[in-house]
Amino acid sequence: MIFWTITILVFLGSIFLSIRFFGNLLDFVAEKSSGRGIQNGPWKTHLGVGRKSTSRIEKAAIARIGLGANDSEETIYWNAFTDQDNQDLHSSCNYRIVFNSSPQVKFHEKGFWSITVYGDDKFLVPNDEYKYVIHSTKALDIPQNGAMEILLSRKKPEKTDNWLPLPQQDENFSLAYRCYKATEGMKKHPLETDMPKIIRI
Amino acid sequence: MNPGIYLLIILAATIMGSLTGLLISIRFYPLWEIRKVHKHMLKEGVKNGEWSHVKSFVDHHIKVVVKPNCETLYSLAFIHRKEGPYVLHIPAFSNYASFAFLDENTHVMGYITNKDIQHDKESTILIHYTEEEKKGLEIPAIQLDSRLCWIIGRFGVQNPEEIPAINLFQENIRLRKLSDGNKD
Repeated sequence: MIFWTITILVFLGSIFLSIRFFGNLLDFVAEKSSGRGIQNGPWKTHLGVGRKSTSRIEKAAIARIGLGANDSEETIYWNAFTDQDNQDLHSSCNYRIVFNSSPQVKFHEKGFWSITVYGDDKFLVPNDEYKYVIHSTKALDIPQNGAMEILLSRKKPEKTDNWLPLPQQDENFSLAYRCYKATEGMKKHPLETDMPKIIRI
Repeated sequence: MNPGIYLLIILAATIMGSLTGLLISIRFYPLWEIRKVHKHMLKEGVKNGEWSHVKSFVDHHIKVVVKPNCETLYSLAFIHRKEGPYVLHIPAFSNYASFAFLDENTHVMGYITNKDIQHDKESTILIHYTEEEKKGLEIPAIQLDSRLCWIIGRFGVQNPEEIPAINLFQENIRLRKLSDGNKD
């Protein structure tokens, strides 16, 4: 009798623990695997966001890292957890995000893009300047051809406003590159889109 | 019973329990996350059919939803099928705007975007569940097929000086039950 009670408790405990730590499994799915998603350099996306045809595990992963996200018709969300050399993004390093051409959004349809830094906990990085994002609707040092650079570092540089702060503690971080009203080119051929490079300095 | 058999049974119970938990989580995780937001809004006193406006950019103190964006302002509302169709009134707006309609499992059931929103006058949109509810109403409509719907409005801000005007726009977005008639 005692043995079967223990067995049932072990069964129920395993269910509880499995549910309790499911979020951590989803983090792994989202960060370490592109699943059936798309990877262009270090940037990963999933064009099935918000769609019924997307698998349940992918829907769960999307709910974990991007609850309430628009579908790809409206916005394409790219996430990066590594740099161009496939090394984890880490706050102890400095990086340059290099755009070789103008981001692929329909500016004429009020489209815009943004780059945001998130800490290891997936929330905005605490900083005294309350600076978390660079987006195309703000005044930026953007030349005519769209080529530009954004610096990622803990310390604010003196020369440029195109800068985003990294976490002060040693931790991994991630980047989100949002393209509101992406061009048909990015939607149809995301693998061939010229994406910004993430270069460790 | 042989102690080895005991261990095998315990191991089997652990594996079966873990798999059951995994299957339950895969099936229900999006639902739990949406419900969490819904409960949070109800706790804050925002009932179904009412808007909760995020009137300034999210900062690092906000920990409600992971990976929040901080280049748009938000207006959020939940509506429930039992309350019947709603009419959504959107004031004139010329910046980027979108309203996404998500069901309980995070599927996007429809959108209202800049092409549906007038930039010089108010736009009126019916949110309904059946064809019958739309009969005789000659206004743009969006049809839902879930019990609970999460409406997420996103509004682009080109510079911080625009924020007061966008806040005013947010305050004037109205959701009205169709059954309430043309009260206002």
